[in-house]
Amino acid sequence: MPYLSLLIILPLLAALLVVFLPNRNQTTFRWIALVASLLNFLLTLLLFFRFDKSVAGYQFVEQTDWITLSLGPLGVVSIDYFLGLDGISLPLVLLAGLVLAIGAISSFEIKQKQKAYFALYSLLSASLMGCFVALDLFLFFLFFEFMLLPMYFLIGLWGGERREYASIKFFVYTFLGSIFILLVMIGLYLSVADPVETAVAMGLVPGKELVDANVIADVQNYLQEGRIEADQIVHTFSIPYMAEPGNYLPQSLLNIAADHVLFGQSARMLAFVLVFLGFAVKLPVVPLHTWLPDAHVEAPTPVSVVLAGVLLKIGGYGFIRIAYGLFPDGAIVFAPWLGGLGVLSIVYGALNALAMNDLKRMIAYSSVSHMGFVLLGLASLTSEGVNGALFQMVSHGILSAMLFLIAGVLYTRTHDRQLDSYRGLAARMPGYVTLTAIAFFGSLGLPALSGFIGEFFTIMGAFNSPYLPNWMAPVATLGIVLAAGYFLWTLQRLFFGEFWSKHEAGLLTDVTPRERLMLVPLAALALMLGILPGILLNLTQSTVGEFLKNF
Amino acid sequence: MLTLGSAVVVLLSRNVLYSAYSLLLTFVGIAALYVLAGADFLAVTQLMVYVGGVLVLLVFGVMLTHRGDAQKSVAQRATEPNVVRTNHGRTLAGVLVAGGMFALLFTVIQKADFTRNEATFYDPITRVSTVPDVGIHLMTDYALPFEVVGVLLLAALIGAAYLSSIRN
Amino acid sequence: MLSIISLSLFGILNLFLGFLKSRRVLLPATLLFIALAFAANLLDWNHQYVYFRDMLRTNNLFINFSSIILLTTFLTVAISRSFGTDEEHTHPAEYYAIMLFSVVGALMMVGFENLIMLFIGLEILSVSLYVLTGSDKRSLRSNEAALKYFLMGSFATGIFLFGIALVYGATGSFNLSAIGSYVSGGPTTGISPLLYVGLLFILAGMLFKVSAAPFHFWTPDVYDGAPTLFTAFMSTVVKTAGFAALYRLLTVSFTGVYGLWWQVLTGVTVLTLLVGNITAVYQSSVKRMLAYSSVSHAGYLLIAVAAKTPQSPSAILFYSLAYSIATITGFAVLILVAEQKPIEGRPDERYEAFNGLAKRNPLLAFSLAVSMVSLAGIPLTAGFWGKFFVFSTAVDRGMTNMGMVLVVAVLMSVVGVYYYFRVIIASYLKTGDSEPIGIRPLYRFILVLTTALTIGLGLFPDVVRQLF
Repeated sequence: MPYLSLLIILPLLAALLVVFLPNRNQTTFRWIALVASLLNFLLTLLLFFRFDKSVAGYQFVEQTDWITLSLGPLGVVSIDYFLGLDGISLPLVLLAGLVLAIGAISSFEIKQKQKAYFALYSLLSASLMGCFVALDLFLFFLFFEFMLLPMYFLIGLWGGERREYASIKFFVYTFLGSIFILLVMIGLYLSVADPVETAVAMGLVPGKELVDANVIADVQNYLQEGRIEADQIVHTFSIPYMAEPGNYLPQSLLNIAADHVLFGQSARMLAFVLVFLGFAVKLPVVPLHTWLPDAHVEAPTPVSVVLAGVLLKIGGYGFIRIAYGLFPDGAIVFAPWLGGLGVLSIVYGALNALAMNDLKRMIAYSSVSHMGFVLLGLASLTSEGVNGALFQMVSHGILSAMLFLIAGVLYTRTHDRQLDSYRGLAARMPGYVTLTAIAFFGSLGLPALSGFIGEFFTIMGAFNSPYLPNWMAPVATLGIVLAAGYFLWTLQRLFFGEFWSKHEAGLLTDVTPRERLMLVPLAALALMLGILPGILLNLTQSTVGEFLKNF
Repeated sequence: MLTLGSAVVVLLSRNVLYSAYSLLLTFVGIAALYVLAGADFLAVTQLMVYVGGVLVLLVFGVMLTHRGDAQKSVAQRATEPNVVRTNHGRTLAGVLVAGGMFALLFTVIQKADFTRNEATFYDPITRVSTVPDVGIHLMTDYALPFEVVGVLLLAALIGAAYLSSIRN
Repeated sequence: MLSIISLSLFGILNLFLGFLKSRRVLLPATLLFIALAFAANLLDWNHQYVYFRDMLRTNNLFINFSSIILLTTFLTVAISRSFGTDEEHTHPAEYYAIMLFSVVGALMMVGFENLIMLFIGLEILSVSLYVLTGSDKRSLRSNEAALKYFLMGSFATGIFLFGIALVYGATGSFNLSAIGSYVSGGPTTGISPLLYVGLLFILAGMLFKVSAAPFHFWTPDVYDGAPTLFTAFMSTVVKTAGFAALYRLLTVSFTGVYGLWWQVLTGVTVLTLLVGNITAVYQSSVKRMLAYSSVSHAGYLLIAVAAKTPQSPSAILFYSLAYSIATITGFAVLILVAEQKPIEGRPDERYEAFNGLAKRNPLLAFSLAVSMVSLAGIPLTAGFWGKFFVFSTAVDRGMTNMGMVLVVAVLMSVVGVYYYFRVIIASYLKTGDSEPIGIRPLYRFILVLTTALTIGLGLFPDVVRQLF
């Protein structure tokens, strides 16, 4: 069964179905999108149970030739449709499946232009899933870049008042990042050869099936000795091949041994910085974060949920898979810088969140702060740190989805997200208070909820790391303290004291069953991961262990 | 000198008719230079096409478009000098570009090696007419360009006819 | 070669067809002529011919470039139905004939083997375009544009011719390979300085034609003033032919002095990218924006020329193809939208005219969006691959040489996103008139075709690349 392809094809089919169904079936569109995303979620669960936790490498691999371009005297470029899953991507695929399904439920509140909305939403789901399972750098880039378009329209068409500004800002920022990645990608494919296909092109073996480890080693030796004709070399975008130094052409731009110098810098270091910047926009890392609050504030609730829950994670995933996976040397050299940026994001985001009066903006800045932990954990290059960063990504995905849904609950009732418009909501909305409290406590890192594990592990990693200076971990803890400050303060302002609101009291009803359906599973999951973090850590640790051997 | 002087008059004169007559002098001067350089075919063409054809057309054009101030009577207008109005903005930029171009060409011509040609320059025996050569080359080596210029002229002709027709 | 001859004859035939005074015959006839020329063009596939004592050379590269030119001409003619429905233009035979002639010129620029042929081809193309630019006789803008184009163009041609004369003076030949062997063989006395200046002048002339900065000043006014249909024609066919000629000239004849023209070209490239993109941001008219965007795309194409790697010709080919298709689509939609609500007799070409286009005609809005996305170079469209191949040539040439250019190109393609998306924003996110826009079947077919081509090339670029 091509499970991973199904993950991408299902939402695509849903999008096509929505586009081609006649316009009068307005109500069926959302059901199509919902069923597709639920099926997708079930599929990710199936993957979770079938996944072999002890294997560090890729599983469920699918590979077919897609584009083969002859470059004449430069050889051949082969781009494959190459999918696979390992301990790093599986948790994120699970998270994406869950959040996208929740987002589909939340999308039921969209009332205008439903056809376009659900088609775009399904398209977005497909490209998000594609990003996490693609193992061909080109394919990854394609999904990475293509997801901008549906996101752009989702914010631009269904957003708030300043939607045009927010959507184009989002697009231009992330596009700048992806162009950086594109440049490095070009440099990489010109430097890397695919040993299997090169062997076939050289005539060492008649077919790809017959290539074994010996042949690959032979080809790599030939390659390093420069004994292969240039036009027989098959250049590749495959991420696993790019991670092996043996596949780099001697003297090529990004070969470690060749050590080219560009603008006074080592070419590989420069490439690492470019890729880092590309993903840093997505994560987002301060000071490249300014698109995020704008996009969040203007986006409709379900889009915010997907944006915070899944889209930001691609930044972190890109760091691990591409920036760190392909340029481990750069990761070591720049570790203190990255850690510093992580700490900066944590503290700066938290301080900003403290100052915000708009609930959604506050949550957006708390996202910046929490994603800073991811960067810090990754920069530490320790087992605790990297596992913790992955855990933090999943936990933040769940919690931020919850937080944005909570903000959405208020917004759908009064169209007002200002914190000072409400007081003492606890009396009128008891269910809402409970759920909000879980989400807030989870986010501020209360033990027994998922946020605690992620932050704890990343800070532990930062303490133990040989690459990071000692002051970083304590400063990062400051972020937790600040988080406690703004979350508790918000809780107090919104819910406690005597009931008062700028709006009619009748508007403020308790959470509906549909909202409960979205919030309760998320809350349960946050609790479960907090008590039994092993579910997730077991998935990641063998792959992460293998991954850290590069450093 | 005559050529250069009359060219300057073409540029500086504010009366179109004077400009046209000075242009005549310039063209004749250039034709003379061609003869001195040994390109007699070119010289004849220059005289026939430019002096004979283009210039006559030009003078006709000047006469026909002579209009002047519409308020005055026909007789008054006929005696009025025919003046061109030009715009003298951006003189500095123009001077800079032209000066740069001049400097570039001047240095190149100074550096260029013309000695090879000087050896045969004063040899009177080789000075035969270039007309037959031009004809032969046009019909052999350069037959294709010669034919294709037909397309060019056709396109130009249709275009000119179309643009000037008053078919509404 | 067959295509050149047949096109010239078809052009004359077209004039005679004009006597019938029936658009119903003329348009299909012209389309048929172009299709026939296209077929004639393909006959020579995989054969190398040199014609008339080294005047023209046809090979697969020639056929590829001329196929692109013929394809774009076909598309332009096909959308010309709406041009000139008023009584002023009841006789489009002249236009079609002149368009065919200009294609003859373009094909000669692609296949020339002798500088004389290049010059004549360039002249045929230019003279035809002067006329086409001024073809809207009642419009002051169109007349001004034609005059401006004519004056500047003849000046550029003059410089170009001067350059050819100087090169002839240095090398004693008009033949490309003869010049090439002089330059790379290196005469014992060293290369004459006349050659350098000649090359510089030729470059200036050619760069003028492809509207690279700082020779681009005519572009916005002329593109803006010309009837939109011919703007589309100008910005695609001339660019393709110009770059084919430029690349051929520089690689065949002047490889030996790569160090010289490489510097000039990279400087021009950086300038073109900056000027084209940054000025495009400040335009309020879509037509002017597209004019500046054509300047900026000239910059991207110049990257591939300046890199001069074995991949360059195919990169230029692919880029021109992607650019031409997307540009034609953009202009086609612009023509329809702009004529809906004229302001003071002029078509409304401002961004505001596109407001709410998605509601008025979803097909128009969608094909416009796809073409803009392709021009911006976003994956799954042809434009992305064009950019990808062009950047690849630059990386391949080496970062020490091309690093600066690449950095500028990257930043500028982000700027590009901004102004291309303004059109999409207007058509999808803003509300405007709601009265629907109708399209004729042929027009609809062309739009569907170009959109499908753009996406198809984006998904499977190798299908076309294998041909190159």
